[in-house]
Amino acid sequence: MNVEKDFPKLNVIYVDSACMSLRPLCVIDKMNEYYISYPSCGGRSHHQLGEKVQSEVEKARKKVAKFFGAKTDEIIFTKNATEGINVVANGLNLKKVLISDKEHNSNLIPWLKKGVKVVVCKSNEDNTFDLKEFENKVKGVDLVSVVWTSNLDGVTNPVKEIIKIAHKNSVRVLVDAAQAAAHKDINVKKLDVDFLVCSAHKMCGPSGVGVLYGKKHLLEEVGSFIVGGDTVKNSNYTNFIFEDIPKRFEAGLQNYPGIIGFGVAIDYLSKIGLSKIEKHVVALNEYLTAKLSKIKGFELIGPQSAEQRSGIISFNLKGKDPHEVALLLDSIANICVRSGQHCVHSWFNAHKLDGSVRISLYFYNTFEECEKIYEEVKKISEL
Amino acid sequence: MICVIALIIFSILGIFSATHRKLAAEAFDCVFRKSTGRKCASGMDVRIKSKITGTFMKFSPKFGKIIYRHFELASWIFVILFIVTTAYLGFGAYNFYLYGNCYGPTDTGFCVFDPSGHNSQFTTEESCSGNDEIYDSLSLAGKDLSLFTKSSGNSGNIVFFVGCFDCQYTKEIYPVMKGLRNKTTFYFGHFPVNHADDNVTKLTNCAYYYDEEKYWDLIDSIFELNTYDFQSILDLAVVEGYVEKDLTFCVAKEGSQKLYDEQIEEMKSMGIYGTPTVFVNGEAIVGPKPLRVYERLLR
Repeated sequence: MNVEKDFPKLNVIYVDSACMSLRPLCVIDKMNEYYISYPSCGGRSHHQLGEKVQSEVEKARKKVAKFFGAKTDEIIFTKNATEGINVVANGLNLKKVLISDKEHNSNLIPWLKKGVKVVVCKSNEDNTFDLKEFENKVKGVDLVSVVWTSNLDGVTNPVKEIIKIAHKNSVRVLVDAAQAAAHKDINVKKLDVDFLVCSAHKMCGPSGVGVLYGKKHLLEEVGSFIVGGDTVKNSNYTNFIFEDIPKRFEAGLQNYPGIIGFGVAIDYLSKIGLSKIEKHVVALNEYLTAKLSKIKGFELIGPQSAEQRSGIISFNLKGKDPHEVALLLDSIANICVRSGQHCVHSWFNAHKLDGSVRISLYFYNTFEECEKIYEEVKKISEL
Repeated sequence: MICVIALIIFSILGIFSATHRKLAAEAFDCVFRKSTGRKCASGMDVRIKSKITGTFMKFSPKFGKIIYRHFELASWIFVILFIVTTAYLGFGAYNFYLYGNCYGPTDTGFCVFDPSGHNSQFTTEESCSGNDEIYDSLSLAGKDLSLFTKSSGNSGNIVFFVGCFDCQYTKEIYPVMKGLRNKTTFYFGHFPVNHADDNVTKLTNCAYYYDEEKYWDLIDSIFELNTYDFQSILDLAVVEGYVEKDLTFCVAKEGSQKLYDEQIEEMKSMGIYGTPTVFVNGEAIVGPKPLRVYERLLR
């Protein structure tokens, strides 16, 4: 993919996109446009700048809604996917939630903190989702909250089947699409998902913006988690009247440049095409996995097949600390990878592992970069 | 082991910066955990090891590999070197306080606390900044100080100041000596290393002979003088109230020459090789030192 010119030059090999993707210049320009041309409040100031901000925010909301196949009033802007999950966790009265054993802390801590009983669905030996186990455990829970593509090993869970089974058991489903939204064509209607969350910063968008999608009638049931400015139509000293959805959930001044920039990121991703992105990323992953697998002491986390791991290669080098490997890659060859437990402490603790090195590829990465990564990892393995 | 060095360095830097205080806390945690047989939780050891190894690997993969494999040994070596260096630094700082340089009263090696070497400079007969040849050990034992001029001050502390009127470092130290003159039994010996004009020494000896009070004023004026010759000093003496005829008569006398020769011979026998050299209660200090160095030796 020839997209090099779209991004600022960084002089590094950036393969930490599962944490945060790079932003194309068009997104940065759009954010700058806000700060330079209409740096104002949206939704409350009716002067020309305020109106412009509001119109740009609503334009972005429409783009996001179209991108996910949702209606505009089903799209709530949040700070990130974590906040989206917190809104649901705190807004619904739930007793029992079913999650997978590879959930990010964002999809574990909100439930634990709320005092909800958490049922864990264990993965198969190769870290793929165990649908049978899921079928056995789904009965009697109030909500299934699962990650679509795991940030730990890149394994994509069969959310379509999960949703079908859950709905058959009259259980609602929240999907954490923080990773998946950057790689997959998502249509929430076709998927029939009840809630879905994602973060802009993993989709070439700005930091501090996320999305909570919810079916309109279900969002009506969700109580407001954070309230205040712009969430009410009117108030007196004893009472208030809530705004309509989505405004009810968007308390206080919003991250306007972030939201507007996210709209442009959505345009950018749509122009390239999510299926094309997925194909490229899997091809890179296949190439690099094959190469890395030849290295003595290379231990892959997750299934061998790259197709099942999207853009992620999570691994360890026998006898080497994952942080050490990551820091060496950085200092020797300017290769930016992530190391540690990737906010999935529960899984690493259960498996008695200190962590892993995670390479996460995106459409702007190249085969030449993969070759360089392989050479450097090999060098480190021989130390 | 590398965390021990990190702890010391970051603790010092932490005095000035909050960022380094945080790193010092991390290093402390690392040292504490490792000393109790646990893994360093902050990962500081891994970070330092990777940074150092990575830097070396960029230039020489082979050398980087050696560093990586023997990092713990290298860390130990660094810690030992660090301790030895710190001990030397402490020793140097102690000497600097006592003698104005890192090695002792008469040594002239490079001192980190006095990088220009100013405190150890002295003037010799060979050159005006020579400091590379040390002759006999300096001592006042058995020497006759009555040959030299003496101030009116009288105390249990005896200071013998050997300098030359035209030497840079003697001129620099003179204000300090002037301060000591009033509170000690103070002797002055002129050791003319730059000019072999015996008459100047004889002239000042004569001035002392005629009037001890005016003599010290004359000496003060001579050290402020930029041009140095017999006539200029004679003019100065006249300004101070001496009679020119008396002085020239005295200088020409055989006794003046004899006294001069005895003084020079006595100073050489003391082992004096350059100026300024100051004996404080018998202990010799060479070069222009801070006042504290001399005061410390006073009783």
